[in-house]
Amino acid sequence: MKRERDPTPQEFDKLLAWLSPDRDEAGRKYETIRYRLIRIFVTRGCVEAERLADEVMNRVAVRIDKLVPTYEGDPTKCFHGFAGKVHLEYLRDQRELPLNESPPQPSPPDDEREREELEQEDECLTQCIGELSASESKLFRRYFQDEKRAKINARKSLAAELRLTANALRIKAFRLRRQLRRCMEVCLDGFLSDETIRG
Amino acid sequence: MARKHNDQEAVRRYLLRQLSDAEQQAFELRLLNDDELSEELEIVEDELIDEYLTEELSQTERANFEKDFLASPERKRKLASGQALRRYFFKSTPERLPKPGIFDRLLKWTRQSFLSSPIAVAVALLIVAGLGFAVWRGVFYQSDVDKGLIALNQAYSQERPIEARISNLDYAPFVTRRGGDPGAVNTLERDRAERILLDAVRDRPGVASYHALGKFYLTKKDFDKAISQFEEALKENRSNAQVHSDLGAALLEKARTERGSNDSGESFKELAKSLEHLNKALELDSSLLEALFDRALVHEQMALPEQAEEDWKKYLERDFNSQWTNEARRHLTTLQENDHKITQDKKDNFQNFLKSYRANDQEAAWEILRRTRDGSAVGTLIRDQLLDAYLEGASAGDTRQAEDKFDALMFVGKLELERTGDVYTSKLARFYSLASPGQREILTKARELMKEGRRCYAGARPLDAIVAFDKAKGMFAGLDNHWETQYADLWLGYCYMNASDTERGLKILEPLVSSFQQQNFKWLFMRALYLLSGAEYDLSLYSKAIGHNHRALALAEEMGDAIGIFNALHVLVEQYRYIGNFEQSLDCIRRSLPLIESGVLNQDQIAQYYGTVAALLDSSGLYSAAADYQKESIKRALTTGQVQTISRAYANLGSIYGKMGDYNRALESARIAYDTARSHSDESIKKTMMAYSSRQIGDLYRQSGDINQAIKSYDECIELNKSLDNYYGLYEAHKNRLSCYKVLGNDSVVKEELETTLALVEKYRTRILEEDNRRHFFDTEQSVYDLAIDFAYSRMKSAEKAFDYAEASRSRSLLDLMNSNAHVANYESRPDIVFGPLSHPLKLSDIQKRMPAQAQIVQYSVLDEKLLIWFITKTGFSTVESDVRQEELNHRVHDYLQSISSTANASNPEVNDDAKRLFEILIKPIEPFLDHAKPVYVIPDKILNYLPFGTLISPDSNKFLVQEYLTVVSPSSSLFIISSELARKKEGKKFERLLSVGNPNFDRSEFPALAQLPSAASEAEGVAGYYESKCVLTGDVATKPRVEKEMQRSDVIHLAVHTVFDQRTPLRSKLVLAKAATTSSDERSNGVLEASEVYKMKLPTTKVVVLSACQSGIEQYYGGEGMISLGRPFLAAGVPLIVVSFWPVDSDSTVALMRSFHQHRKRDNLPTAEALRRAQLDMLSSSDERLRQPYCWAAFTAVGGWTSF
Repeated sequence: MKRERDPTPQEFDKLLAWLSPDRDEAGRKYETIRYRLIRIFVTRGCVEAERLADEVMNRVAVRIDKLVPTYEGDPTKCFHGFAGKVHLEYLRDQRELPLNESPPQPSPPDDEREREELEQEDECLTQCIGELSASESKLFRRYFQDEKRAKINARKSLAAELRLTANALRIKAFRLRRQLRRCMEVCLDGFLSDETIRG
Repeated sequence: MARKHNDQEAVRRYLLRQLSDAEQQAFELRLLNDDELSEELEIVEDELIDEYLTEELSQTERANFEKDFLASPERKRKLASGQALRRYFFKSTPERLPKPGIFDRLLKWTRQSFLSSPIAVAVALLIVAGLGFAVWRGVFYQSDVDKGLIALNQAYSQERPIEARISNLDYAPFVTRRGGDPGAVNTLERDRAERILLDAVRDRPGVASYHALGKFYLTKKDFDKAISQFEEALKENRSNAQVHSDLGAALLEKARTERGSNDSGESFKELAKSLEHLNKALELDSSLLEALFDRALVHEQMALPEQAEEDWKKYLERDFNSQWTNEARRHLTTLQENDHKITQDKKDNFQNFLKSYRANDQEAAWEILRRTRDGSAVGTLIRDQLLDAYLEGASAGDTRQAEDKFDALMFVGKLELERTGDVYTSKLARFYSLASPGQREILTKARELMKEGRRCYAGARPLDAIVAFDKAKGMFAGLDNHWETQYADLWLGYCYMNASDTERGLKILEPLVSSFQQQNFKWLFMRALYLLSGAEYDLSLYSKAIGHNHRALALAEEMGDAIGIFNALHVLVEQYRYIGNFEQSLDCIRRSLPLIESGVLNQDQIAQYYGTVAALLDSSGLYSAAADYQKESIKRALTTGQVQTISRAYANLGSIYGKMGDYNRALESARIAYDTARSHSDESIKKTMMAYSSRQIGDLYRQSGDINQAIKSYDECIELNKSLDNYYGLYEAHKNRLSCYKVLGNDSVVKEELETTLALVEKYRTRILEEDNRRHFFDTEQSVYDLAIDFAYSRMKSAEKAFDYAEASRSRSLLDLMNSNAHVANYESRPDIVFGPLSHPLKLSDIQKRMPAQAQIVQYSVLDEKLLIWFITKTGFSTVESDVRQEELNHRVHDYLQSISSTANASNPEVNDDAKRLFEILIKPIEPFLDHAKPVYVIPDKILNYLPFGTLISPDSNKFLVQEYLTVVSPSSSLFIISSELARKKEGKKFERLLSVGNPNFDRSEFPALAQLPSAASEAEGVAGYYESKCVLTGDVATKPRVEKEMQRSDVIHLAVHTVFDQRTPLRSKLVLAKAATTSSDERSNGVLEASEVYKMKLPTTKVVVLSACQSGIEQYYGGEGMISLGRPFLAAGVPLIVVSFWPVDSDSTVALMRSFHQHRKRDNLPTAEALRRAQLDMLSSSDERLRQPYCWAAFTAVGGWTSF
């Protein structure tokens, strides 16, 4: 794939202005589109989803002068159109990759490191669950600790207890989980930076 | 915050990649704008991960999850976090807490003992930790892969699931079971292995984990998944012997499973691939017992018993006392017993027949008779043995023996008559019963001469054989023994063929074929057809040869004649391979392989057969397996002393080694072939074999870069082939010498060689009569024409000559069809087109003379390194060269088509950039020549056949090509002229009758995947409104008989129906119509109109056919012939202009386009192509954004000639 150059500050400003006259709102829109493009590329099975999303953002930004006067309709459609093209190019690159030049894969950690990582993950999770409020922690445990049929029953009774619809409970649990995941990322980053200092 | 359940379901399907393209596009557009949907997406992601970890996903979902969902590192991280969550709950559940381990106890002990001294505690802890880690690592530690494989071993400790050995899996007996009984398997351990190994692949993708998971799938007999994992492992490390071995095992087991089902020879190909991997495994590690064990099994499956025996023996030398040895011994014993049984059976055939005859066991007697009718070997025919014994008894006065054998002969005649209707033996027996003692004496001598003739033939002395047979024939004829006279004649024909006087052989065989048929000498008829096929093949009359061989095969099958079946199939393997139809060739191997082990064949037949199989594997790129067969062929040929077979086998082995890059061994083998050929006593055979091996030597020198030596060998080969009149040999040698001359850069020699080679190709074209075979042959030989075009243009500086070559290279079969030089024939229930005399393409000067003044032609030639564009008008001719490489053009067109052939990417402005770039490559260079007022007839080449030219955008005007020019496609300039002339003949009729068909009520049970097309019905009715006279057929009345009848009298035919393609046999592709309400089995009521049926039609009044269906203009592209589609037969049926589609069309937008098209055509009185263009322009200016996308307006194109209507 031929990579697009970075947009100039002027082009970037014009792009934001195209998304919304309010610069803060435009910034939020930009990030939302970028984030959702990443989700799209991830779902399409792309290994470098973030890079591809950035490529789309750059391509649109670089062409902003041509686009604004001629393009009619919702800008997100335009991003999606570019995403389709970038995806095709990505697929072509994948096809063309010679067998001995497959994309660099992270080398598997040695056994000791893996065990260490698992321990770190567990430690972080325990710590992050500890940071939840008592009611959140209770909800979280009850929502996630069962499997299969028992899980369905437990969630039904939990929803009834909390006077929530099943879907509202589902969303609540998801948000807790997302909060936990973010907490874990920060926590694990701490381990990583410690290690970097040690190294 | 209520969310719809539908959304959850849609998100789930989106994440598991289960949405259609259109659904996916719509979903993503929504996703970009919808915050709730975006959050829902993340929730469902988490839920899917949880369900995966708790094994709640269905099998399909799980497969999609592993293949697609987990492809991104981010999702893998999420999965890891989900696992952490599970570990958390797992640990915090008290009853599940693990018992205290050694570390806990040691720590407890150290705390108690050294608590008072912190340093001591620290030191102790360090020591304990160090010691503990070392012990744990060395003794107890197991990686996930190890754990998974241990579980797998335990799962199958009672019984192994497949016969092949899987590397490092312990012995367990293999039990063959019927039905779906999975055998003794510990499912708990198996499931545990699955979980662990899937995790291992996810967490640590690499050789070890892919390999281990592949083993798991192999034990589950999920062969495709196993193969895929092993291939992944090999991508990481191509030199892992164990992975090669297990991949070989997987391919072997897959082939065994598929065998017997109608797999069209695919299972044989898998066995050959298995052999490739097992050979590679042993090459990498000769001590790998699993590979040796499995290779022995593969050799058994591939009917290579000697090589299998060799492998088992080697195995037993290396593995003395494991439990595997018992199985190896059993296999070896069975092979040896089979071998002994076959030898014994052959010896006992005659005695066993007599026993059965005396016991009046007709079944047993017939079984022996039908398996032993070897027409080429001496003394094997029961009939001959009985006659000899009868004559011997009669001449010695042993009446009892004579009567006994004569009665047995009558018994043979009776059986043949009853079982097959063959009267030969019974009539012959009657003749012998009336022979006087004097006549019997002459007959005895004549029969001795027949035996002598066969011995000479077997000793590769056909000229001596001819003398003997000729004498015998004279003696039989002198006694009015018409039966054996003809039999001797058959042998004479065969021997002339073998003495390289094929024409003479053919002259003898042709009348014999009809004579045997008329007299009901069925076996001789079958034999004569088979021999005739051989003669025709030698004379490069491939289609005839294949046709006759199929007839021989059908007869042999009807008579249950094992050797006849084998012979026909064997030759078909070679004939199909020769014309590049590997699929049919493989299928013939599948059918013939079981006969090898049936004990009915002699060593020479087997040697030749192995050589033929090797040649096919060689052509398919499976060199290692090819070498195995070729070596086996040599081994068998050496036992027979057949010089011809030995020489050919060595030559072929040389060629195979050459392809494996082992030039020393290759040249050594080829030279043995050449020297062996020189020792042949028969001059003609000697030359044939020398020509063959000298070409192999030439090829080897050429491949190794020694061009001068290669040319010398080709020179010799050409001289030899000239003296033999062997066209194909000459063509191959010239073609390869041409490559050598090109390397040396001597233009004058290249030019001369090029002309010779192309003349031979043209000669060849006349000899391949069937379209299927032609397509395959010219598809592979297109490169010769491309070379000619490039050379004429670049080196000879003759654009005209280059154009003529370009024109000669394309759509020649369609040209023959349009000139009525062809007919459709059914061929083993498979339709094919059979061609008559060859039509010649028009030269540039003729094209200019005959083309309409209102037209302009743009013809493309896509060459490896450049693109040539020819521009032709009645008075002008120009050529433009562009340095765009074929590969680049392929990429550009491919990506562009992907973008525009769905609604998804249409809003992407980059699609327009691509359209502009393609305009710059394809149109801009000739734009100065183009006249806006005239239609442009585009003759595309290769990938350009798929391109809707009207969608290209001029960077200067920013307009689509369709807005500036009218473009029409034509398969070649010659065909454009013919179509234009046809159109002229159909001009003048003012009132047009329309046949309009839409949404036929087709048979749902036969086409369950096809949807109803209600909009097609309204399209059919809507377009009819513009015509003066019409017949509208929709729903139940749109039956095939009705449509066919109406087609004959309609000027314009509009078919808004479904199409169904047959990839294997394009003539079977069909338009789906309504099934007629009849209970008869008449095929006319079957509700489909096949391409083959349209090819049979003549449509004398039809001016235009509109195929308003999916991809009606694009089906399969062949180098040389161009695009084969459902539109093509209508051109062949005499329709000068058709309107067809490039891709699966949107039903609703098609209705709009078609209505507008017919409206412009009739109301505005515009010519068809211009009316289509106007309809497209209407859509382009539509207020509906969707209709303005190329996907909607550019799906259809006009194909054919210039028309005023």
